[in-house]
Amino acid sequence: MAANLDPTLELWIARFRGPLIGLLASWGEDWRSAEELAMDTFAEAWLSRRRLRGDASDTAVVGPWLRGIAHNLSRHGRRRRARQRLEALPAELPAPVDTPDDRIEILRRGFAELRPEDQTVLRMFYLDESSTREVAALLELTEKAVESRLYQARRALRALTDRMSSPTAGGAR
Amino acid sequence: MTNEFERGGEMVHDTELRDLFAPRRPDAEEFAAGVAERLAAGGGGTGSSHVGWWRRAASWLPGATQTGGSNLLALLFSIPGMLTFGVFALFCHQRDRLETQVERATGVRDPFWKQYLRRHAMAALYAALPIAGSLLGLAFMQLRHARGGTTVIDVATVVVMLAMGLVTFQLGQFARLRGARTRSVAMFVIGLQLTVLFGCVLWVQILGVFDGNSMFGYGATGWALAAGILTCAVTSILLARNWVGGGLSLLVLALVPSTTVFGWPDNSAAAIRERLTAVVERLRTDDLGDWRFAAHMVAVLEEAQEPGVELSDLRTALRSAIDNGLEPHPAVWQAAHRMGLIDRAGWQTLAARPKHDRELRRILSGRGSLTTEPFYMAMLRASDALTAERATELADRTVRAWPHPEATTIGLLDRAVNCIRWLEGIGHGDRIREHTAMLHELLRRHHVREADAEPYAFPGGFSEAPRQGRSTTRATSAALEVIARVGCPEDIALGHVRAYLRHNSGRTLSAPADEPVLKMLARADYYRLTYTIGVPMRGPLEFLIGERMLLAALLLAVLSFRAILLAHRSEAGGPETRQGALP
Repeated sequence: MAANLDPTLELWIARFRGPLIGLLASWGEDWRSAEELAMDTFAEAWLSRRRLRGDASDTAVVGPWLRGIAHNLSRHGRRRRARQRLEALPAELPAPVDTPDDRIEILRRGFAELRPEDQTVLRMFYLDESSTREVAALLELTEKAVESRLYQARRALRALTDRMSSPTAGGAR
Repeated sequence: MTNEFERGGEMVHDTELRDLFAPRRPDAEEFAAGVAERLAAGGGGTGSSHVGWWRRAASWLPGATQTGGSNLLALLFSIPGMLTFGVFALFCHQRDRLETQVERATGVRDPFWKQYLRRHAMAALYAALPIAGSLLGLAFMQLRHARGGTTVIDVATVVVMLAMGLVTFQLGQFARLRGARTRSVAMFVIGLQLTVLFGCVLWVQILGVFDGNSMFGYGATGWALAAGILTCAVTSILLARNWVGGGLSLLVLALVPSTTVFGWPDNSAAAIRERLTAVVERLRTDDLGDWRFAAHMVAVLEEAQEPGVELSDLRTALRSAIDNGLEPHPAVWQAAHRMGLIDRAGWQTLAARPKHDRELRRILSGRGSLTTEPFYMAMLRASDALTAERATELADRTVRAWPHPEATTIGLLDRAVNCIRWLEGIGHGDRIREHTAMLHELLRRHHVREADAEPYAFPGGFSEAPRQGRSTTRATSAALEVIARVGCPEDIALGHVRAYLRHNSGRTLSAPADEPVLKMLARADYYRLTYTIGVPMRGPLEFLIGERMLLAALLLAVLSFRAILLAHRSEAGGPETRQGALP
């Protein structure tokens, strides 16, 4: 289905779709809401693009701009939920609980044990085909810092999954 | 148990992590379509257009933006609070002025300087009265967030209007018995009505308080007051040569039609046709904004068996697009399908295109989505691929794709409507009623009751997602599509839905072509609700209670007119002008 979007907006979406959804999911949105909020963010950003200062094709310019809009939309949604006395959903884990794949299940459980900042960078990088540049722009970090976090997160996850899958840990099924 | 991970590596592999997130990965095309849909609807904001403005306007008021507890001191010393006292002081001053006139009539006079000061102070205050009155509504805003919610405002508005009616009645008696100048009485009663108009009726409507049980709503109340003010102003000019005061009142009154909240109801089939014609004239195949709305208006007119509008230009444009291999947005095909603008040959041509052929194969193989783009059913029919067995199979799949009423995502009503259209399109519309209970639950979860509405948001309609406090025209339109098929649950008051649509569809001074399309959508749905779906009738008592605001406004207008007439009669034959006994 062709959406007939402006090429610049298509470029934004192609670059930031995955990292932005991952970021929103890290802020406590469930995956579906994160996806909807990301759509809202791109639409709002495009409608108010005249306020963007800088090159619209520059990742380092667009990333923080999108993050700001996403943050406002997410905060507004939370306030609304709070007014309605609905409890915010906890950040969802990356895969459904009832997956039949043991390997994925152990990974999922290990992921749940990771530090929040490690979870965030993994969500943003691995949800879609993303590069560290976009993740860095959204998190307002350097690419090196993102690479470093990814490295540490993957190492930590390996350690956790190894521990969970060893027979003595009682984590294997 | 064998360890399934590759031991020896320091890190988890990329492929493992990509597999981990695969179930959550967004579909690129669906995502882009979602963004396009939002852009077509004007961005993420789908609520009332002036909500943001009023929220910003309210932000400079102490305590006005608090949605929670109340602070009595903050309320008293806020601008609305002080204005309330100011208007009260104005009324006291007016009464004092009238008493002075009576004293004068009986021979007791104040010193000249006192009269001079009073006259000029009154002129200044009277000029400020409508403005002060409009800001008086902010006090109601405080009340709404302070205690009792909208009921407090509703009760307060009726009490204020009845109290003013009582004052006006007494003023008439006073003028008749003791003599008061017609001009003063006229300005007093006009001031009262202006205060009610700008201070109560206009503001309570803006604040999202709606009269769901009324057939006519606050708009009609506003027009009744406007008619009363007009009558009083003209009468005072004719009887008392009150050119300045009467002219000023008429000038203030001229502002009323420019306020969108008092847009007069214009929901006839002719009005829909007029707007539809304006939309159709500007439709192009390379945009997508208004197609959906045009299709909806065409469908509403057809449903009511009303004459439609000329669509031959659109047919030609679409034929040309098909012949030239153009591929507009799917929303255009969807609208064309609803309006019946493409013939069988056209759908066959489209079905043969690789993109659509691929999608049709996906649908027939059980992989394609049945919750979007029901126009594919036209292609299926045109390409003779829809056998009876396949239709049954597709109906089964459509039934399995019904949105779960307890889901929390947005767009569930749209999805339900698409499922309904699929079932109807493939000849299995009878299966819709099997799911009435589920659809009713879906409607309940999307209905915005007055108690659940967000501040400044109009209740009565339906929200984009379950349990949201903000009605939107689009979601309400989708909900009515569902209601038209399976009826309305008993615990949803259709009168409230009508009040929401009435508020969003009032006609203002803007030209039909410049009217926002969402207003056109609301107008079409108001018409559909009134003439096709139908709102339950009310008994006499329910009618009186429902129209309490309008009746109070009419009473105030009549009593005001009476007071002016009595004052004129008294003045004409009063003690001041009466000839004494001849010697």
